[in-house]
Amino acid sequence: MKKKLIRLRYTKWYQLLSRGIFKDHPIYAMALGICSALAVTNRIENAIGMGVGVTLVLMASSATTSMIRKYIPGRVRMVTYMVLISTFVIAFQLFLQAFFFDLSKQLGAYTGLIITNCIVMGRAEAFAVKNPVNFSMIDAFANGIGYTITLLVLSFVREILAFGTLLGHSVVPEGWVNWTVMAMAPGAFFVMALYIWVMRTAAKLDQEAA
Amino acid sequence: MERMITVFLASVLTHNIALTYILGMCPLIAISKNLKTAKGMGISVIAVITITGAINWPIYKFLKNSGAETISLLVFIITIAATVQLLEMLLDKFIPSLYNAFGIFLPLITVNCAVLAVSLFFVSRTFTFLETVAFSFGSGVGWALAIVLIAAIREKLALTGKVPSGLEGAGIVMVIAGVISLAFTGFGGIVNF
Amino acid sequence: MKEQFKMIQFVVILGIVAAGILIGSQGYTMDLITENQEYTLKSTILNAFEIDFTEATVLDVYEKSVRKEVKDDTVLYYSEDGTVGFEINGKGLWGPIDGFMTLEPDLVTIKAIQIIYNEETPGLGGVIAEQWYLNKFKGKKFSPAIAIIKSADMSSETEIDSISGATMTSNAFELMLNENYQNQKEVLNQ
Repeated sequence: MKKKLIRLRYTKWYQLLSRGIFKDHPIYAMALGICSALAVTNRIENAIGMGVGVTLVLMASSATTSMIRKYIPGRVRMVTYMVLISTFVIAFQLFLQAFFFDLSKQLGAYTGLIITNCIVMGRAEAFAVKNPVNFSMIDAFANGIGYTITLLVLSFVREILAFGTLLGHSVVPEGWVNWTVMAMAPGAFFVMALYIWVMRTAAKLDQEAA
Repeated sequence: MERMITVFLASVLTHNIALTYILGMCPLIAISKNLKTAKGMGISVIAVITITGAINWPIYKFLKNSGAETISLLVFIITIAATVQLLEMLLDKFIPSLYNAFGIFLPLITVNCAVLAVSLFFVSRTFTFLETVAFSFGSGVGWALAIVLIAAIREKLALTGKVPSGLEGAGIVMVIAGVISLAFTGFGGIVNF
Repeated sequence: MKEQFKMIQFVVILGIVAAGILIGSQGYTMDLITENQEYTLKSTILNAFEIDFTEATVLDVYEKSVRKEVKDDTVLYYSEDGTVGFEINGKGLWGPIDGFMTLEPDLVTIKAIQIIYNEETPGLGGVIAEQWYLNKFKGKKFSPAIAIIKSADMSSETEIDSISGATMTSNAFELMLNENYQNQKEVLNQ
């Protein structure tokens, strides 16, 4: 059993997965996709919606980019990514409005901003355009999951402190005073700073960088 | 005129696109290392946001009248990419020194979420054309203000302090941004759209 | 030349495929989306009229109980007992506030207020959308206007408590309600 596990570590897909989720994490390792990570993490519900959205768009765009990678003329690379990503984002928005109407209202304009989420474009350019479809999808999935996990952690902290609730259910004792600043921008910045600090130290990135 | 000034001031102080709506963070983190480049980026962003805001407004009106609002997102991002490309070409031709100074920043502006966000916001807030221009210009100025402030503090910090290694880069920018945005909440209510 | 042609060919195909995906998604979801919007609006209106309904019966109950009339470019909604309702909107601290208000047949007393959309700070200004706060408005009268103030007198016909820590939103809300009432007053009294 142990031998099997060790062998597992060296398979390509495991490496891709662990890199996306832990080592080369888009947010704390590469500082990508921070905008939406800060803006939508005031509630866990919003974080889930955004995380799922980004993961889906990431997978769709990486898959399609990878599929047509041999045909994309050099000059129109960026435009291609943008057109593909926008298409999938708009499709995602429509589906959100159709099936999760309230959530779509809460996320508002931020779903549209998935287009400019540097993670999506970044993975397309750095990976999908140079690798076969199956690996591109795993890489996209890994980055998406890593991103979603970060969003969940941040929103977990912010929702409890700012509202005393988790997914809308109150979990704090009587007499709890809400830290309203957590629902606003400054709170987002501070929680993100702490998170980056903790994660970078944990993933030993700071030593590598030095 | 008064309305335009109100919208402008509101987008700089109370509805600052970087410090209140937390947009345009990627370049904010990457380019705030030194003041000079931050200033350059700030000015480019002001130019791009103002131009794209002004262009996208009539485009959106046209799309709306033709019932094609669903693709407005796609059209906006294309306008932005085109504007940035055009700006690059113009600068290269007429003010090459400036073009060289900006270097890689110009193309990066296309993916600055703040630019797209301004276009999305004027839609949801149903601004008139003049209001949109004031809002775009104000948002650009607000973003530039944020990056310049952060860059100035970072430079000073690099000279006088030691940032914990885990916080280097993105981390310390978040802390600085947090403190500044907290200060900006003090502007709340002074002026509103 | 050949390179340019290839590029154009590629972009065109890309455009067609993208458009195809979009049109497909839109076709699939359009009906659902309009349904959702209709459902949200109608259930808000029914709530404002304090008419009971269940998720499944929204559209039916609305058909039976609410009558729509257009007077002078404004849309008014009437229910069987003479209650009148209309959409209200204004500017909050962070963004627009959209809602719906119903008045008793005397056209002065508030029956209910529902908030459809707002961008206020959740937990602070956002309280205006919470039911327990909106309930405070029931029975208050526009004589000639309502006042949202600190330490309001509960027995007064025109005073309602402001939201602690959200003075700006409370002021904006007061302004919005009074303004909307003033605008509708003329049409209502016809």
